[in-house]
Amino acid sequence: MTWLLWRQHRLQAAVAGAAMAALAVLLWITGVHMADAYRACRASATCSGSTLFQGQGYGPLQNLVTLTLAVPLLLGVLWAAPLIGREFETGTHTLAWTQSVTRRHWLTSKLVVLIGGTVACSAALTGVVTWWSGTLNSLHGNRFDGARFDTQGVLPIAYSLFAVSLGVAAGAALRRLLPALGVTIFGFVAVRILVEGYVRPLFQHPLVATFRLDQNDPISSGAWVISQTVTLNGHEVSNAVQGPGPCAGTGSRSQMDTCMSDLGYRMVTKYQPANRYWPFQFIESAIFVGLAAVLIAVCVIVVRRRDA
Amino acid sequence: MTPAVTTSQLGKRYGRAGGRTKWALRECTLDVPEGRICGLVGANGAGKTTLLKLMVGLARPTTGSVQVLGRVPGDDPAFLRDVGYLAQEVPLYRRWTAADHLAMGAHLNPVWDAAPTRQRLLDLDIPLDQRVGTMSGGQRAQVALALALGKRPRVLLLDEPVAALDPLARREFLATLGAAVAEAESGLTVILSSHLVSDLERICDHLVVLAESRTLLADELDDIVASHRLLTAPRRDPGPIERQHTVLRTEQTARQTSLWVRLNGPLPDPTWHSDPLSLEDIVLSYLGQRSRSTNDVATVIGGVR
Repeated sequence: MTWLLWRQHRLQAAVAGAAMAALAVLLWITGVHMADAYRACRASATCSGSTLFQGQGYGPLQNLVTLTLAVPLLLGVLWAAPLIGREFETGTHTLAWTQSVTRRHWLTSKLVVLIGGTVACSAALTGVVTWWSGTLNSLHGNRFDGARFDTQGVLPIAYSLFAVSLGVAAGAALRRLLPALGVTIFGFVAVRILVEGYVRPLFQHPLVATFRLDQNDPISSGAWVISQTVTLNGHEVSNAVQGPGPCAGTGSRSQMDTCMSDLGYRMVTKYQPANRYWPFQFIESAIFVGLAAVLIAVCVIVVRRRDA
Repeated sequence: MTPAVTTSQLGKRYGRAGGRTKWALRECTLDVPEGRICGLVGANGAGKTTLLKLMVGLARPTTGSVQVLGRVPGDDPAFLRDVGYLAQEVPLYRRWTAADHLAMGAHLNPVWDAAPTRQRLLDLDIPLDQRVGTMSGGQRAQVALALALGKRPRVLLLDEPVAALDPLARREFLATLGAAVAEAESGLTVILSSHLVSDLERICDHLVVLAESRTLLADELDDIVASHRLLTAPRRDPGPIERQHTVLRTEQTARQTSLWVRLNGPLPDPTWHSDPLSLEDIVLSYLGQRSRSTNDVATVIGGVR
């Protein structure tokens, strides 16, 4: 089976390896440079962090790193869906199943190679991206929200496992490549949006900080801020009536803030503190790995039960 | 003689219970003795493909049982090692060369005839380093046959192997198959399906006729030809013949009665004129009979086992 899998998938392996190597080299060179610049900046008194990397061509690179969000989906579409789906579509599975290798052995080998390759590829990717993003995380004081959370840490590995499991199960169940690709893309995007938008905020109750408008934000840096609202005596004030009202004409912005705070206006912030970063990473990873396990089980049942 | 393949009341239904279901094969009972080349003939949709898939373990029976070389077909290396199979659509990896396919055979089978398999393709002028996707249908079929033969199977199952080939490629394919059977030291049993009797007549010594998912006839070719006759006589009541023999087809004209008959014993009435039937006529009379009447055909196959 090793020979068969290598002969069938060596091109995919080579392409993935080359792409990973190119990205790693690019990120390593720029990453070292960024880290040096950031260190030098912090050592000097005149450094302004907010403008540090502006106008130096780092924008596209940042976008490229954000785009690694799509790598799990690429693995699901390019590796996983055709792995069994194309064999079924072209009938070549009957060729493999009537050599002296059992169907069980064939399937196990395929899945082991798929999952092993996925873990290796996504672990290497998230390793490089997490390391490269370290400088920008420090600079912005945040790695917890949006695409940073999704492209760093252990989560990309879990996303990749989910995507390839979905791809391979869809290919096995639908037996045709094109519908399997559709299900993989739609399913992955839908589940990701659902979990990120509606499930992730529920992992732990968010903390609530209530403070005067003229106070500095007491939330430690690195937190994931979910919402910020202004309240009056505990009731949320809509943006429309938030205007200066009775404090109009009190002068500077800070004087106005003091005036409004004296009247009972407060800032209420819901947030997940920075120290929940890793628990959140692991909880969400567990969800996606669990879904992947279910899909792999479906794939195994479909392939072993179904008539050729 | 021990049967290489034996089936008993074998049936296969596709579709879910409760939903729309279709019997692809029903009540199929037959023995194919070891060392035979057995033709499996029937109209399209008669269940030939299903029967072969059940024999190689690619499908599982709904009813009845099938045994190949004394084993139930399944996910078992010892079983798979002894059985070669060539599917109807001749699946090959289109971007691979013939040599790649032979290498696959060598890697996935404990026994592999590397040199003879290679030589077989070279003798047919099949370029080993050409992608099979760019080969002709005949060449692809030869590559697939070489792959199935290379593992030195004891039972070889071929599903409509020549259906898509031109007459010359068809002849070459059957010649390769015949040579392989002659070379095989320990009796190779071949079952090949076709809807063309003329192909089977050339190479087979055993025949199974399937129609509408049932077995109509299964016997040695010589016995089939010997036991089927066309009886003609001036117009008369066919009743006495029908009581003693199996009448497959009756034609009455104003002056003459013609009966296509399977003889279940000697013909006592010498006033009937008895002519031999060609194999094609025999098969067609079975298939025609089946489409005209849906009576139980168990009586027809009753004499087979």
